[in-house]
Formats: sequence, C-alpha cells, structure tokens
Amino acid sequence: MTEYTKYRVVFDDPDNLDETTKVLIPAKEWLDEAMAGKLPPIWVYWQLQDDENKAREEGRIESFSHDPEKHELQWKAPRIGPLTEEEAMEYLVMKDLPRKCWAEEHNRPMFRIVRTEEVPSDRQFRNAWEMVE
Amino acid sequence: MSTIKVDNLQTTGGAPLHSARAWVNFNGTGTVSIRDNSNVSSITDNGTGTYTSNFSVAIPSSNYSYAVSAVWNSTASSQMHAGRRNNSVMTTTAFYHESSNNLGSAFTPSDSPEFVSTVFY
Repeated sequence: MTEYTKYRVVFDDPDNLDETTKVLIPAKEWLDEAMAGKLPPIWVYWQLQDDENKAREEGRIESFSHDPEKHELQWKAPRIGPLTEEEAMEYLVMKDLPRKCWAEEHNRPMFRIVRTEEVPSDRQFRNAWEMVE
Repeated sequence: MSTIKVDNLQTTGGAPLHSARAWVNFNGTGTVSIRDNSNVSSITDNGTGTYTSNFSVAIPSSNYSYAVSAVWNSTASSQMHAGRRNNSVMTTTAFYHESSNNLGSAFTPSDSPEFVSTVFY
C-alpha cells in the first residue's frame, strides 16, 4: 500500500479558458492498483470513450450501452505491469483528463502534474488561481 | 484477499441483491481529498461546490442511477442541496455533481466537508 500520493493534476479546459483551473485528485486505491500492475492498456478506456462520444454525436446516448466484449477488456485485457507513482499519474492524465487537454497542441500547456502543497488550499484563492508555465 | 465471482446476487429467500457500481466520500473543503471509495480512480475539483467522479471501471450503460448528498459546513440556518445539472456531464466514465446552499436568498455553489456520491446499475 502506498502512502497517499503527493501529486495532483491541475488543468484548464481549452474550450473554456475563462473557467477556474481544475484540480484532479487521484484515489489512493486506484494508485495502489496501478503500482501493483493491475491496469489494462490505456487504449481499453479510449475505445470505450470513443464509442460513447460517437453515440452522443449520433444522438444515440439516451439508450447507449457499451459493447460487452469491449467493456470486459477493462478486466480481461492483459495487464500492463507495475507502474511507478509518476507513471501512474501520467496514465491517469490520459484516462481522466479531457483528451483535448493533452492530445492536442495549444499555445501553452493545458495541464501540469504538481505536488499537493503547490495547490492553494483556500477556495477563493484557488478559484482565482491560474496555471502558468 | 479472495475474489468472489458471480453473475447474480440473491438473498437466501431468493430476492435479488444489487450492490453499488461506484461510490466515493470526499472532503470538498480546503485541500480536497478522498476519504474512501470503490471503483473511483479520481475526482476533479471544478470550482466551488462542483466536482467530477471518474470511474476506475466504466459503467456498462449511460442509464445508471445515482444518489448524492452533501453536509453543510456551518451552524447557520440554511439548506444544503446536492445534485446534478441537467446539462452536465454524465457519462459511463465520469459523473459531474455539485453542492449548493441557500445561505443567501438563492442557492449558490458551496463546498461541503463531506460529499458522498453513489452510482447504481
């Protein structure tokens, strides 16, 4: 079991840069699984996200269900092996952040992995806080 | 630790049992932190009183059910509301929820020291 992670991910939504900078907080249990080598390849999640996005674009989201074989890959696909905490955070970025934050080019970085103490604990300060390079 | 694999859960009398697909209990004030969870890889702090739960294992269908609650962090007389906006994100991989109070005349987003979100399917 890991100690609770010292990392957070701060990110901006490229489509809504006026919004507050967002903070991703990893779950300790998920990190433990990542570091124990229990995660599937990241494309398993992307495949599910792509299918759901396509259903939304085509107006089929109200009755959308995943293809059972693709859904089962989350626990049936070969595991990728143990990750370091830093590698697990990078995996989490690709899994839980909007893909346009990290997969598309922007005129500045849209996310950063930071230490927890770098994130303001005061809400008013955090809402006014901006991510800079 | 052992793993039990079954397709259906029933009481000894034969009534169906359904467990939660995911749940999370977190502190939404100060340095936001997750107290405990099941099937949640992370939460996102989107701003005052607004959060996203990201699932470790995606829910099979977008038509899942959910319950959320939030504790009010004050002795002042007011109500706390927790829920989801109609146009907010509710996908099989993430669930957006928020808390607000009516300490003023209208409900406004407010952080909660104990926010609980549960998903059933």
